[in-house]
Amino acid sequence: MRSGQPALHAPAENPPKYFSRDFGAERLYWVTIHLMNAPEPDDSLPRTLADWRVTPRRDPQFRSAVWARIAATRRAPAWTSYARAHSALVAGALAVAVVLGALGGRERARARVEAESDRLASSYVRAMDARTMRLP
Amino acid sequence: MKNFLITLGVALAACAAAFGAFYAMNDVPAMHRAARENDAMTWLRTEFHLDEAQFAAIKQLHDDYGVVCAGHCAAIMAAQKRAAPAAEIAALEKTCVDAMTAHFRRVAALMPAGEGERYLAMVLPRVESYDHNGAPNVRVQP
Repeated sequence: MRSGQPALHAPAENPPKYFSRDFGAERLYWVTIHLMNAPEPDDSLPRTLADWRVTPRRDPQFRSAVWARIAATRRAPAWTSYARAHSALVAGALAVAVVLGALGGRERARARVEAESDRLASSYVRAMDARTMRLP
Repeated sequence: MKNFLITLGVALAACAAAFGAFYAMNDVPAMHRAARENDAMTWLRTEFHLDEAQFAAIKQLHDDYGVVCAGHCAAIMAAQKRAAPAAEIAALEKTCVDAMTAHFRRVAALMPAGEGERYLAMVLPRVESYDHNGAPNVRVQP
């Protein structure tokens, strides 16, 4: 490790004991040497970049498209969050629904039982009423 | 909008659940059975919350009254058959009504407190409002 060019990838089984002394300094040295020996940059590249002009096609829908994409990615809050945020409204709606359902169920059952009881009471009395006996 | 619809759905579900629960709590399956089978004794037992002893005593009263009622029935039918005067038929019917009313009062006396009055309030107006229409169709003696 200490003689010649340092290896870029130090073997895992022989890690440097002191990073700054055994690893960092050697790498910094190696990178610096290579940069100093690097070839001169091509002068044509800055000229090309300087001459480069982008003329994008005008898109009148661009802004609305951006907002549409933002709206599409904006997720609706979960119902539990919604319910917490509108707790009074949700609780009120549930309370009204339960009360209406309870009253409806009770009245429906009672009305049915009452109608049947009424019919049976009439039949009961008629069954014991000799006046209902008629000659054929 | 989606959360509003979910809230609406939850409210409807709660309404349906409450409806079902309160319907079940106020329902009387024995009454439906009695209506289905035209069973007046089951109706009597269910409607007026009779216990075993009360039901047995009232059933015995009904059985005993069946004999009396059959006698009235036979007398009225015989009068009709021989085209008896209206006054005679009316007298027979009055006898029938008086006996029936007395029977209902005896039945009421065997019922739990409060139920007897309710029973009389149900049956006596039906005796008085008899309109000579309809025919017996329940399983009660006679």
